[in-house]
Amino acid sequence: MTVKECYDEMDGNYDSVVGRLRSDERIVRFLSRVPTDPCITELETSMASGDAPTAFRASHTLKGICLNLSLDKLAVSANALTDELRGKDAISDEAKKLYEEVKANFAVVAAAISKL
Amino acid sequence: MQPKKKNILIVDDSELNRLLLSDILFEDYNIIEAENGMQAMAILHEHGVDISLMLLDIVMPEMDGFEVLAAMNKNGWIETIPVIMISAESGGAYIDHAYDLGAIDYINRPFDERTVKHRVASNFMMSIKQKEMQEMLSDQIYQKEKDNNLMIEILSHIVEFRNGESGLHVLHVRTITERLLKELAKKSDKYPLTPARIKLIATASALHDIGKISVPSEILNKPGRFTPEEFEIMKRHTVEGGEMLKTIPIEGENDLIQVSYAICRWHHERYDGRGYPDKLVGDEIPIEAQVVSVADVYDALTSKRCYKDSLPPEKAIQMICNGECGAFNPELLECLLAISGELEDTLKMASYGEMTQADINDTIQQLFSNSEGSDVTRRMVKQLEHERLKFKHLSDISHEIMFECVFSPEMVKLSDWSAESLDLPSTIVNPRENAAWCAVFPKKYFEDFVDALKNTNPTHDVVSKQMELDTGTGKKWYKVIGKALWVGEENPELDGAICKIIDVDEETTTMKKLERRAERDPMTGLYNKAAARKHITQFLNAETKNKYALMFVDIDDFKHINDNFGHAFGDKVIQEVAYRILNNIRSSDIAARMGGDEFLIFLEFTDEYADEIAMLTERIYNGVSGPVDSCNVSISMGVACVNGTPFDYDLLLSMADVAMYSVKKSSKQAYGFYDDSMKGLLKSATSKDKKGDKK
Repeated sequence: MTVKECYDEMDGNYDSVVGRLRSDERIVRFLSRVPTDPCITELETSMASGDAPTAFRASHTLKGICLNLSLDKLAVSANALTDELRGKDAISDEAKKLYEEVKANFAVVAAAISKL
Repeated sequence: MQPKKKNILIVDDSELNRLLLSDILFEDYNIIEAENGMQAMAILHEHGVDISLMLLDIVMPEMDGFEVLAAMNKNGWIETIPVIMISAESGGAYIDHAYDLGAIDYINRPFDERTVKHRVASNFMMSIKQKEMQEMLSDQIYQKEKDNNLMIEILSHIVEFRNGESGLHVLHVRTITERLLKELAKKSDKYPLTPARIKLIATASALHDIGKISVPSEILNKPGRFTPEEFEIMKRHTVEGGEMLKTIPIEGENDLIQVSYAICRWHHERYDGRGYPDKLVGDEIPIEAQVVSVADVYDALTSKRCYKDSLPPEKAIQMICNGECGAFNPELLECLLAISGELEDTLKMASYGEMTQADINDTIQQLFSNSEGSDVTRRMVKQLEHERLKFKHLSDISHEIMFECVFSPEMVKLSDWSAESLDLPSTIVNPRENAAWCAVFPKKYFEDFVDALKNTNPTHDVVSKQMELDTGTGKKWYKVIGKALWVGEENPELDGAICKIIDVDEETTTMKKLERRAERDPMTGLYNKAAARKHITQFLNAETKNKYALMFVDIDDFKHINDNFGHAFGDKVIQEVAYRILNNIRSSDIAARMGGDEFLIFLEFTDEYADEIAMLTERIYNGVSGPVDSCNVSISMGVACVNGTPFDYDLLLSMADVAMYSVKKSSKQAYGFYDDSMKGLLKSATSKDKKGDKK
C-alpha cells in the first residue's frame, strides 16, 4: 500500500502532509509512531477515571499530532473533544460521546497505518 | 573547520511532535529536547545561554509554556534566549499573552518544514546579529578608546621631535601602513587582516621608532654618516623598542602590545634575511613589521630631511622596487605600486585632526555597513555622553548664554553656565508662559524668534536677530543667533535649534548714538529736515483717525537781527528759539529746524475741548516769542491740521507754508491757520517764492 492510498483510507490529506514534510519516508516514520503514541493510552485511562484536565491535555496532544500529520478526520474529532474538555473539572456525557468518535476514527487510522 | 552547531531546545509534551521538529532542524542545529516545562527549566539551568533558541509548546503537563516564559523573565534568560511558541492553539489571546511574556515569534501547527526552518533561521539570525552587534561595538569603539590613540601619538611624537623630524613621519607611516594593508587584504587572504586588525596595526605603527628614545641624541641627530660603532648603537633601537613594550606591566595578552612589539623589533628586517636585529627571512617577519618597513622607507624617501631633499613618489617607488632600499615582500611591492597614485594625494591631505576624524568616520561607517538600524547601545551612549561633555565644557568656558530650543513639546534647555548666570532652571518647559524666562526673553521676541527658526530650511538654517533683552543687568542690546537643526538626508525634519545670545549692547548703543547724531541739527539739537520728514511721515502714513497739526515757524526779520547784531547773536537767537520750542511742546511732539530761521512743529491733538489747537498754537506762539537779551524776537506761525491719516507729508508741509505765507503777508507777528480758501495758493507757494517775498 502506498502512503497516498493509506491517507485515502483514513480520510487524511496526503497532499498537505507531503507538501509540508517533503518526503514519504519521513511521513511513514512518524505515522508508524501514531498507534503507540502515549497520548492514546493517557486519553483512555483519564476518560475512564474521569480526570478531565489530563484528558484535555491528552486529546490536545492528539489533535496536535493529527494536524502535523494531516490526519484530518481524526483531527476534527480530537479537536471537538479538546474543545469540550477545555476548562472542565468533570467529563460530560457529550465528551464521552465525542471520545467514542475519536476512538472509532483512531481505529481506522491505526488499521490503515498497520498496512503500510 | 565546521562551525559548532548551535543548540536549540525543543519543549513539547508530545514525543512525536518533538521528533517532527528535530527531524526538520537536526541538520543545521544541535537539538535538545524537553517534554515539559520543568525539564526545560532544568536544561536551561544546566546550559544557560548556550541555548541559542527555544521552541516552546503552550499546553503541557507539570509546567506549561506560559509558566516557562514567566520563569525565564524572572531569571533574565528571556533577554538572551529567543523563544518561538508552537501550539495548535491559535486563539489570539494565547498568542498575545505569549508575546507579552517575551516570546519573539509563533509557529502554528501543523508544521510546515520550510516555515519552521525559515522562522528558526531568521529569528536565529536576528539574535545572533544583535549579539554580534554588541561584540562589534565593544570591539571597535571600546578597543579604540582603550588603545588610546592619543597616548600613542604623544609617545611617538616625543621620539619624532627628539629625532628632529616634523611629526608628520609617524602620521605618514600610519597612513601608508593602513593603505597597504587594505590593499593586501584585497589581494590575498594569506594573512588574517580584518578591518579591526588593520586599524590595530596602523595604530601600532606609530610606535615603530620608540626604541630611538634610548639612542643618545648626539648619534641620533648626527648630520654625517655613522661610524660602524654608532651604527651598531643606532640599530639597537629595534631591540630596545621591543623590550620597552615587553616590560609594560599589563595583565594578560594585549593585541596592541603584541603587534607593536613585532613592529618595533622587526621593522628593519629584510625579506632576504639580511636585516637586523634577528636576520629573519621572508614571512618569518610578521606581516605587520613588513608593512611598516615598506611604509617607513617610502616616507623617508619622499620626505625632506636635514641631510637630503625629498624624492618624487615615482622615483621612490622605482628605487624601492629595484631593491635599492632594502629587500621586501614582492606581494607588498605590488600593493605599493597599486596604491601609489592615491597615496600621494592622501599624504598631502593628512593631518592629525583629519586623521582622528577619519578614524571616527571609518568606525561609524563600519558599524553601519555591517548592520541596519541597531539599538543605541551602551557604548554609543557613552560616545554621545563624551560629545555632550565636550559641548558643556566649551559652552561653560565661553561665558555666553547658550540654549537649545526643542519645538515639540516646546522647551528651552540652557547650558549649565547660562542657567546659573541667569538663575533659571536648566530646562524650561513651555517657555512662552514661563514668567522667569519671559523676564529675560520677552514673550513677543521669543515667539518671533521661534517662528523665524521654524521658517528656515536645511540650506538656510541660521536666524540672527538683534533685540533688547534683560539677562539680569537691565535691558541691553543682544544679538540672538539660532541654528535650526534639520536632521535627515532625504526628508530633513526640524529637530530643534541651538541658540546663542551675544551681548552687542556697546556696539548697538554706539550705533544708535551715531544714528541719532545724524538726525540732529548740530546747532540746535532739534531734528534736521530729513529726519523731520522721516519721523512725521511715519505718523502720516499709518491709517488712523488721529488729528495732527503741522506748524511752520519763522523768525520775523531775522535778516535784520543778523545785520544789526552780528551772526554770532543771530545763532544765539536761533538756539534760544529752538530751546523755547522744546520747552513748549510735549516730549511726544516733533520739533525740527528746517534750515535758516525756519522751524517745524508736529503734534497730535484730540479736539476734546473747543479750539484745542488754537489754544496750543497760542501757547506755543507766546512761549517762543519774546526778547533775547535786548533784542525783541517775534515769530510767525502757519498751522495746517489733518483730520485722519494717511496724509501726504509734502501736501501738509505746503499747507502750513501757505498759511504762514498769508500771516506774513497780512500783519507779521502773528499766527494763522490754513483753510480751503488758500487752496489756490498751494501750487504757487513754493519755498523759493516765500523766501523771496519775505526777505
